[in-house]
Amino acid sequence: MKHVGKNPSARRRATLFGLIVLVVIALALSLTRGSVDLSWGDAAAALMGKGNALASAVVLDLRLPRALSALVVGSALALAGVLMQVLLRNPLADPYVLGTSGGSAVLVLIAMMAGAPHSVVPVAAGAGALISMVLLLLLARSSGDWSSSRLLLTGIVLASGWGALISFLLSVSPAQQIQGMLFWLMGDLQPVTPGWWRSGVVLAALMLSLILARDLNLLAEGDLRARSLGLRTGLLRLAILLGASALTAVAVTLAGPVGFVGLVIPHMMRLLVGPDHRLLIPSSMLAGGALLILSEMTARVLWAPQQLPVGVITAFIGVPVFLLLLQKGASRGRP
Amino acid sequence: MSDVTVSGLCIDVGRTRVCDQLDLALKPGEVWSVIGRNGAGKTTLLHTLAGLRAPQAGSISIDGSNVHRVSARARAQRISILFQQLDEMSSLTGHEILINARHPWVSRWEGIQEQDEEIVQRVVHEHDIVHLVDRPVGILSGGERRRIELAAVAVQDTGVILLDEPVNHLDLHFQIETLSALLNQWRAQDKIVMMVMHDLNLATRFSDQLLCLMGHGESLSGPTKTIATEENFSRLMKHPIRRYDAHGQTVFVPL
Repeated sequence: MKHVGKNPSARRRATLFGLIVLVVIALALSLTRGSVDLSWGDAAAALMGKGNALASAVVLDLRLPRALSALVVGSALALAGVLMQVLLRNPLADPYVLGTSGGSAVLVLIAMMAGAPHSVVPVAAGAGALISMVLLLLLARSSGDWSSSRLLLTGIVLASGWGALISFLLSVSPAQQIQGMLFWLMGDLQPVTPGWWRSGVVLAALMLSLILARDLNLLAEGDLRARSLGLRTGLLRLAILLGASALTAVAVTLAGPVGFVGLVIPHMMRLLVGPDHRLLIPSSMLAGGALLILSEMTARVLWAPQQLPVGVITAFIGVPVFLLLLQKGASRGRP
Repeated sequence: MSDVTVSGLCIDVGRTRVCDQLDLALKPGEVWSVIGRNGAGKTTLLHTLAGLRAPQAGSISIDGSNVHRVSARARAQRISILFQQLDEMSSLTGHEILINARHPWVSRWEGIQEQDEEIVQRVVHEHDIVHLVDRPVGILSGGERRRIELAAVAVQDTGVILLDEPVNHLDLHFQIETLSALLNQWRAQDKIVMMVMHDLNLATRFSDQLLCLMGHGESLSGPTKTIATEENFSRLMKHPIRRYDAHGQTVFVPL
C-alpha cells in the first residue's frame, strides 16, 4: 500500500537544526562586525571574560546586549505575525502593517510624556497593542466573515491614524526629546539587554503556542470547521489576541515599531516547511531572530560610523516582499 | 451506533421560521435527505443538528445527551459535518486536512498516533484519492476537493454524519458512484446519515427517509416511499412536478 504524506519528524529536525546554526552564525557576525571589526578569536575571548579591555567593552557592553535584544524582538514579531495570520485568516497580517505596533507606540509615548514610572511603560505598550487589535477586529468584521481587502484597508487606515497621533505627540513634546523619540519610532535597538520579563513573555508564548499548535492548524481551516472538529474557538481566539498583543508590546518596548518581520518571515517559512504550526512556529521564531540580528548588524555597518534604525533595514526588505505577495494574491484571485 | 432524537425543535433565521416544533427520530443505518427550496433553511437546520448553532427552542440528543450541552470534543466524536462552502484560503494539503479530521480523537499530550495515521491511509485508499492528497487543496478542482472533504468525514469516524450537498461539484459519474458506495458502507456500519440535497431525484434514489422543509416552519417527514409523491414535491418546490418510472428508477420532472 502506497504511503501518502511526508514523514515530518526527520525534516523537522533538519530544518530546526539548520535555523539554529543560522542564528549562531548571525550572532557571531553581529559580535565581530561593526565600526571596529574584531577577529572571531577576540570576540570569543571577550565572551569568556579574557579579552582585552576594548574588545570586552565593545562585545559585552554594546554588541551582545543589542544582538540578544534583536533575537528577542525578531522572534516575538515573527510569532506575533504567525498568530495574527491565523486569527485573521490572512497571510498579509502583521503587527506593523495592521497598526498594532502603532497603537502600542502611541500609548508608550503618552506614558513617557506623562512622566510615568518605567514599570508602567510595558503595560502601556501591551494595552496599546490590544486596543488596536480589538479595534481592527470590530471594524473589519463584516457579516461574520473576514474579507481580506476590507481587513487590510482597515488595518492600514488604523496604522495611519496612529501615525497621525504620533506626529501630534512629537510636535508638542520638548525639543531635546525629539531626536531620541524619532529614532525609537523608526525602530531602533538600544544597547540594553532584553530583560527577564520580555524573554519570559516570548518563551511563555512559544511554549503555549507549541502546545496549541494543532489547534492553530484547525483554526486555519476556518472557524466553523474548527468548531465541528471539537475546538473551542472563542477561547483560542482570545488567547491569540492576548498573545499577539503581548508579543508586540515586547518588541515595541525594546525596539520601537519595527516593521514587516511578522509578514516576511512566516511567509518564507511556509514555503520552506509548510503550514503545520508545530514546525512553522519554532522555525519562524528562529528565522525572525536571525533576520533581526543581521538587520541590526547591517544597520551598524552600512552607513558607519552613522548608525541606522533597524526598522529602516527591515522595511527595505519587507516592502518589496509585501508588494510581491499582494501581486501574487491578485493574480490568483485572492490576497 | 447512535440514536438521534429531535424534539420540539424551533429554528428562526432572521424573520424566517425554518422549522416549528419539529420532532424526528433517526435510527442507526438510516439515510435521511433534507429537501426544500432555496432559503428554506436546510443548511441552518444541519448546522443546528451539528451543535454549531443554538435553536430557538427544543433539543437534539444523541443517545440521550443533548448536543448543545456536551463538550465540544465529545460532540465532535459523535457528529461530523461536511460544509457546503469550500474554504478558498486553504494552503493545506489533503493529507493535512485528513490528519486534522482526527482531532477529536487525538490527545493533546500524546499527539497523532500511529493508529490515526493508519486510519488516514486506509481511507485514502478506500476513497481512491492517493493521487490528490499530497498537493495543496487550493490548486485542486472543486470536485477533487469535495472528495477530500468526504474522506475527512470518514476519517473523523462518527456515528452521526451530516452532509451539506455532498455531491456538489462532483461529476455525474462520481455523484452516483461515490454516493452509493459511501452510503452503502455507512449503512452497513449502522451510522446515521443526514444530507441536504438539491436534486430531488438523487434524494429519493439514495435516502430511506425524507424531511421536506415546506417554508414558514411547516415540515413533512417520513419514509421516502410515502413522502415522494407528485403532490408533495409540487407543493414543496412551488412548481408542478410529474413522476415517471423507467428502467427501475423513479424520476421527478418539473413541468
